[in-house]
Amino acid sequence: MKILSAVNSVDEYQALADAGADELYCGIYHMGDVSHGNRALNRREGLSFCLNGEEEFAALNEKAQRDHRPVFVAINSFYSTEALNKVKRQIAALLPLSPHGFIVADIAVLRFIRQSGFAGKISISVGGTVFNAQAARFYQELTADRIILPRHLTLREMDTFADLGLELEVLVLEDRCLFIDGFCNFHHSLPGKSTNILHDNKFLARTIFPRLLAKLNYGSIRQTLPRWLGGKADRFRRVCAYHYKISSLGAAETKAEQIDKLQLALSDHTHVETCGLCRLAEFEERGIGYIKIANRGKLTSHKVQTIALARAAVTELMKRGAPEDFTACIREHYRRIYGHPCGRAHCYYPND
Amino acid sequence: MERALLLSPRQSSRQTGGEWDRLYIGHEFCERLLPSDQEIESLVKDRSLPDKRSLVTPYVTQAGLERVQALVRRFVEKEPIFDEVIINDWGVFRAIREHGGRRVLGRLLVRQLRDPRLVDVDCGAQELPGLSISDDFIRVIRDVFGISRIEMDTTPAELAAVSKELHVSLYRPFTYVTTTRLCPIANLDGKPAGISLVADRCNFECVDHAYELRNELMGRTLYLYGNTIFYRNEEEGLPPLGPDRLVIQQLP
Repeated sequence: MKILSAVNSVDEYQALADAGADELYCGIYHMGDVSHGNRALNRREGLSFCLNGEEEFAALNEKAQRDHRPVFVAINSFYSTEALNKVKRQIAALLPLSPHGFIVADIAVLRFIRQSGFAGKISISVGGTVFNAQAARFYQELTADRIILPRHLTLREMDTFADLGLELEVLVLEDRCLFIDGFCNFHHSLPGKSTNILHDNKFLARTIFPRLLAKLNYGSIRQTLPRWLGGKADRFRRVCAYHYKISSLGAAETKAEQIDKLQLALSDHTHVETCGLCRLAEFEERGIGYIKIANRGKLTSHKVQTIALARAAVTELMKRGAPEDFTACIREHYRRIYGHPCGRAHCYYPND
Repeated sequence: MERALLLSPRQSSRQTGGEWDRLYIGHEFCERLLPSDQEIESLVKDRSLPDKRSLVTPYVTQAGLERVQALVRRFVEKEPIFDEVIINDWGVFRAIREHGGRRVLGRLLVRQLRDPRLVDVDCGAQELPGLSISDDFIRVIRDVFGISRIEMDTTPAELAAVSKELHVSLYRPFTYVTTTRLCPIANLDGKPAGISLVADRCNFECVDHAYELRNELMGRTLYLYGNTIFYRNEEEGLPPLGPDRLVIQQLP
């Protein structure tokens, strides 16, 4: 089973490789490029999340090819004509650098890549919303090689993808969102905001911002922020985790405790430290050969820890020990990295 | 302009009065709300409703896909009650291609910019609000896949240009923002058991429960109906050029 990690600078390549990442994925960003409210063309804005142009990709890919470590380029949003023209220019600039593969969601992009003569791997992003075997076949007929299964599938529902002749990948660590990526219209970062300087300034983007993000996502600030700021805490939260004033519209009366439950359901299920590593054996049974860590924009040290967690899980799986021992071992590794035990709220597969 | 009424059969008790040219039956967002055979038969018998009908289908798991296929085999191919299928899943698109009926690309597969905050952000008129489908995409769906109609729910600057290439349906009064299989309303009346996927705990609470969501950062009120969040779009008005069908959703 192969482990995929995000990479957003050539400087962190060796640390991620040493930690045990088998494959890498990245986005490419061009400073000052504003397009369609989605500046980086790959759903994550700025140098915190992306490589700095094709030059940095070339430097990264040279190292990766030397080590036979595949690198995928994410071009995984949906595009207007204007944005697609930028995408096409980016692809044309990348093809001579021989990327191992692309991660896409827009079928116009998929077709352009193949029509450009690229014979490498094409992965269908979670944005491709492949919830059933016919959808997988649809993309297979468009020459996709790999499907990244959407987050909101149970293990039982994944049975349907076995024996299709496609590589299968699942998200297994970090950043579960309440909403379905491929159908969600919330922007992670709005254009025209003052955070633009944060995205374009290399020092701020790669040193300050990830540390700030770590404090907000994992540190004590996450717990204390609502106490300090009350309703204004949402300014520091992901849009998909906003808190709302909720009032009932329907025919049935809604009790106060049901409103509280609804509030929790809407805002508290977008967790960063989510994990599905206990399910590796079940993934293997279903022919899933690739596990992905959703760690774009995180500190290199954190990326290393999450890769190490995934690597420990794969190593334990290979020992073929008793399932309960495997689970206990993974949970202990999780606790060491995240500083607390895992629970249902942190589970990528809570229904299974 | 053709006027279509969108009904989920569990909502069929709502008012259907008015002049309608077409009936949309089904659901875009939840496979559990696909109509049963009996529900479809009951609506067909209602002479007050139009006899041009579209089957509306959601994104689906394998189980949901099998249900959609059964509906299409019976009500599109064998007993043609529906002349169209509204498709929000590429798997459905592929699965029903042999069964006849016009395939219409539903709004989940037509990627518009729908973030409710965008309309209030000053980032250049040429940027937003807009359409995230390209000329290339339109050519593929029209010339390769044979689709002649798409469905939208906001009115981008490109609408007139798009409508020269394809027929366009426009949804009112709700634009969808986002959707989930971790339905927040499912099991609302039950014990607080944490998150769960729809299939395990749903008692169709969404039929009787709907909510307004307010947050000052959103700039506008959101609405939660079942597993999907919407905002109201009536202030966009109807464009003078573009859509040739208006689809009216009836939600609480």
